[in-house]
Amino acid sequence: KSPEFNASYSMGRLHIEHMGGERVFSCANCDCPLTNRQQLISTRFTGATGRAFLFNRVVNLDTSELQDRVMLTGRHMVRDVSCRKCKTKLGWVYEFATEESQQYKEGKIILERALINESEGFPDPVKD
Amino acid sequence: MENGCLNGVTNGNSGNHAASTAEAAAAAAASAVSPPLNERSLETVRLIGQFLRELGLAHSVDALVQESGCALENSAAASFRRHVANGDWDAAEECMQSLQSLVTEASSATEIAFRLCEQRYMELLEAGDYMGALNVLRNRLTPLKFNTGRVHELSTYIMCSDAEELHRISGWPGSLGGTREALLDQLQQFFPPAVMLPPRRLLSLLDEAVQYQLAKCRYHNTDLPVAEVSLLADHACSRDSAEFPARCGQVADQHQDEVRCCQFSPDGRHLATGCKDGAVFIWRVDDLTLRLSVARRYHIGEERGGVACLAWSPDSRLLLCCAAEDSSDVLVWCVSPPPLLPPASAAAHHHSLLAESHPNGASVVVNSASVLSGGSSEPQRFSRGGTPEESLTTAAWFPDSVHFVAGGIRGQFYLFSLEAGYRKSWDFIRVVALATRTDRDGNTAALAADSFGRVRQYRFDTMQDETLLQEDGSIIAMCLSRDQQVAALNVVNSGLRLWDLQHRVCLQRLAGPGISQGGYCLHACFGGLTGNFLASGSQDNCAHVWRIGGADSQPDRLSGHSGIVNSVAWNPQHHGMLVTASDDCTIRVWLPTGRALSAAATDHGSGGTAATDGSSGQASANLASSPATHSPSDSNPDEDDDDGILE
Repeated sequence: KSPEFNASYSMGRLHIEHMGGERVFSCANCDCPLTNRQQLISTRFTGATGRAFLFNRVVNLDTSELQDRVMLTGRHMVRDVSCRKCKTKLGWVYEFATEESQQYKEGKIILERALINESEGFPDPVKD
Repeated sequence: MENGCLNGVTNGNSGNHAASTAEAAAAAAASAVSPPLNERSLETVRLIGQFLRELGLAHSVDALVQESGCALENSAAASFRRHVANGDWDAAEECMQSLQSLVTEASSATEIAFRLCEQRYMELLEAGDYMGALNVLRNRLTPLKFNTGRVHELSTYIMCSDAEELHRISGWPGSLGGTREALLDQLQQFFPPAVMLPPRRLLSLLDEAVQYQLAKCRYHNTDLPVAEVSLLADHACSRDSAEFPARCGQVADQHQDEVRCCQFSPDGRHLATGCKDGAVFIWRVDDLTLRLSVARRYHIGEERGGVACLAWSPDSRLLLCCAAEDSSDVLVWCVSPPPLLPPASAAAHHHSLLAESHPNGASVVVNSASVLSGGSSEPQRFSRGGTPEESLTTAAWFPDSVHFVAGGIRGQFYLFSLEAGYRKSWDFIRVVALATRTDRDGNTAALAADSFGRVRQYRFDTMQDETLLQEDGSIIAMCLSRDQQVAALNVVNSGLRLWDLQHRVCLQRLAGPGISQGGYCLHACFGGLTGNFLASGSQDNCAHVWRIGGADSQPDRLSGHSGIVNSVAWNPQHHGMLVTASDDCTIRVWLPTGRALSAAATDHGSGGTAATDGSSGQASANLASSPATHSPSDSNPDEDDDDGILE
């Protein structure tokens, strides 16, 4: 009867954060909340599935190992990011940009538009 | 050095002490001690002298004074004490003349004179000397013009016909009742300690030292009275001898999947556990052996993502369950039937929210038509009846065991009652964890930790809210201490934080690398006889137990599980019983070492119910020494599985 559990599957319940906001972005596959419109910096990026957005801060992501990638804008060190809940790959995060003009992206996250949903949220009613 | 001893620090007036210092100097010269005693030693001699005198060992006192050359008290104070003890009131008042200048506050002299006369008056009345008593009343008490109300009261006692009536009416125990000693103890407070020592000074210092040791004792979990703690060595409970849950006494593996939650009922008789596969088990706690046996098995369905939250009603009858995956309803089972009430009062029960403000958790009889009155295994479902996008993943009961709040991070935060279902909503709050607490005015407030790292208080009766604290990270879990004064928050990447809810300050940070780095939902629980322990699950497969407020903030680690410990539960009635629930699909019961070992022994003593690996000696060692492997032979075959009514 004793189940064989593999350390990588035996997980316990993951704590899911929520950034709130009036327009919420979440994983298209499992609806896990990720970020919101206030964190959106730019919509003029391109990923594997087409349009991609650059966000300042995103939660509930797992990151991959550091990778060296050459993109349209130059050479960058990036990590792939995936949804913490369903492990779907969603985009990447810029760790380091070799060109100075691209350094503004460091620490920011790209999420591909086709892999996320946008939905209605609500403002935080607490004023103090 | 004598001067330092007798004059103390409160006044430098040496005029009146000329006589006493001279005699003290003479005594010092006659002292047998060489080198001469320093200040601390002299004070200690005085304390010891007082202790011996209070025991009645007069010869020892004399010998002590003689040999150390240290007078125990200012000699005028000593004479004063002697006169009062003998009832020589005139001599006592004479002594007061010379002690007058030593009192801490000049106005006290009148009060001292008053009390002396009061005692004298009462003793004269008791002896039947009415003329003498009247004399004292008129010529000594009244002219003082102090506490005239008391003087009037005293004058009424003249009407008492005998001593026995006097004692009864005035409440004064009589001159034989130690009142002279009590009077001296009271009068001491008017003098600085250098002149007159506070009573039982040595004993109170020793008690303080013992209390300090008890406060530091890492495993202390008993109510040992201070007076019974040995002074011979510093008190420190050893892990194995204390009532501390140090060893695993039972491993129960009835669950088929990761066990996520565990909660004891407030009466300590049942344990509820919730599993990833949707199973909820109710376990009965055996009163004597503290063994767990399965009593009920419920299921909430596989598709709900497992059990997220379990909450017992304060009257220990009902169990509330929230599922993990965006469930728009919460489930309530009636585990024990309500107490029987005569039909008239049962029919009359109907609560309105504002009318009920009884935080004492009185048990309530629910309308018998509701499914909650029976021992049925069907739960009652509570929801707002809204869209399926609603998510209620955490809940907490109100003390009346009728109302509860439930909420989730999608922004639902509702008040429910057992009879009426959904009652009220508080909009736009993304709730992570809930608790309830009695507010200043005696009514119940809901405490909600939200997705912005705040803990806020919500009054559903007045619809007023306020922020209690703001964390600098995402809050994973929250639990309150038994006295509702302290909240323990599990904060992402920061470990456990203890907050004082009344003063809204962070009391302590308990770091644990396995507690919050991985972002798993790990639950903590307060426990112990005085609620001074905090236990938490951890990613390193151990339960961590801290002694709150202890000098050492390193936790004790209870190891034995082979998976993440998700939740812990401390029995509120049996203070040495701790249960841990783990991803290895088992729950473990931790008991004080003595109990854990004897629990394993009785397991084999009773024969067939023991572990089935063939060698009984081996099996008992398995249980007691907490092995890391999970083996099928650890199964707990003495479960009993009745669907009947639990008593």
